[in-house]
Amino acid sequence: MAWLFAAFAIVWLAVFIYVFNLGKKQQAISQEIEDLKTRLARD
Amino acid sequence: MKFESNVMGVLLNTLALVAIMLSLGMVFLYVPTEATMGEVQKIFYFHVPSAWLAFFAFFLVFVYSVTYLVRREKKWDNLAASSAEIGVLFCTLVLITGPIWAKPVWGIWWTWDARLTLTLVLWLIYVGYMMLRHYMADPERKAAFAAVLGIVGFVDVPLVYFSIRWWRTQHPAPVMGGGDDSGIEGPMLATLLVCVVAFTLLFFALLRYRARLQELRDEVDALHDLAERGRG
Repeated sequence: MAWLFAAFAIVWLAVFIYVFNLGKKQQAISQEIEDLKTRLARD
Repeated sequence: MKFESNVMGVLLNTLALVAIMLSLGMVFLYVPTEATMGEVQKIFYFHVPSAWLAFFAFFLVFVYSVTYLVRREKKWDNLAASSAEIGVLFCTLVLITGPIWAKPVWGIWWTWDARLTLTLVLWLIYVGYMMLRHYMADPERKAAFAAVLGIVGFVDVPLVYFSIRWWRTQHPAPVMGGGDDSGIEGPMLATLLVCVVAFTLLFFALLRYRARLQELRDEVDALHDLAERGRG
């Protein structure tokens, strides 16, 4: 059962980490868009 | 158009989530335990769909790469890059779950048989593909070189698939379509199919998200250039 649990945990942990990283990238892009808006409004 | 796209996205994510829950329920509550290997055989229900997804993702890299070389449109390159990244993720999972299954059943983590070695080569090809994309600066050259590698690299996928039919390997013979003595019981087949569908839906949800992020990244980079030129 330990082997099964290890494989199961690794699969879903990897998928969660990947989705989490995509979310972080999306946050960074949203922040850049806000910075650009501010910069363009100032210029 | 944007509303339709959002509805599609929500629908796809919901379907993927429901299918994943169903697949987990079937693996842990429904499907019978295999007589010879016991509980550890249930790794099969994550290992095989992961392998299927890696093959499918690399097939899409091949299709998108050909389309990019014919049409020279950035969106095909974005889709190829996104599909390769997800393919590498699931190929990595194949290479991790395989040894976890092998150790209690074969007594070894790894052996250099044709199936395992060719799968490792497949992983290395697409890790190389991602490194090429990461280190090349010129976007057009990067896209063209990556497309060529995406097409050539796909040659390894049929080799991995047929390796257990062409050569004698430590890896088991095909459980389906492998001859008279191949095949699995109904509940096991149903569970495997549900897992494959769940993983495929998850793949499309991830591909959609990843490709959209890449599009946004390109748009933001273009805006940065515009802002810089406006200043100059």
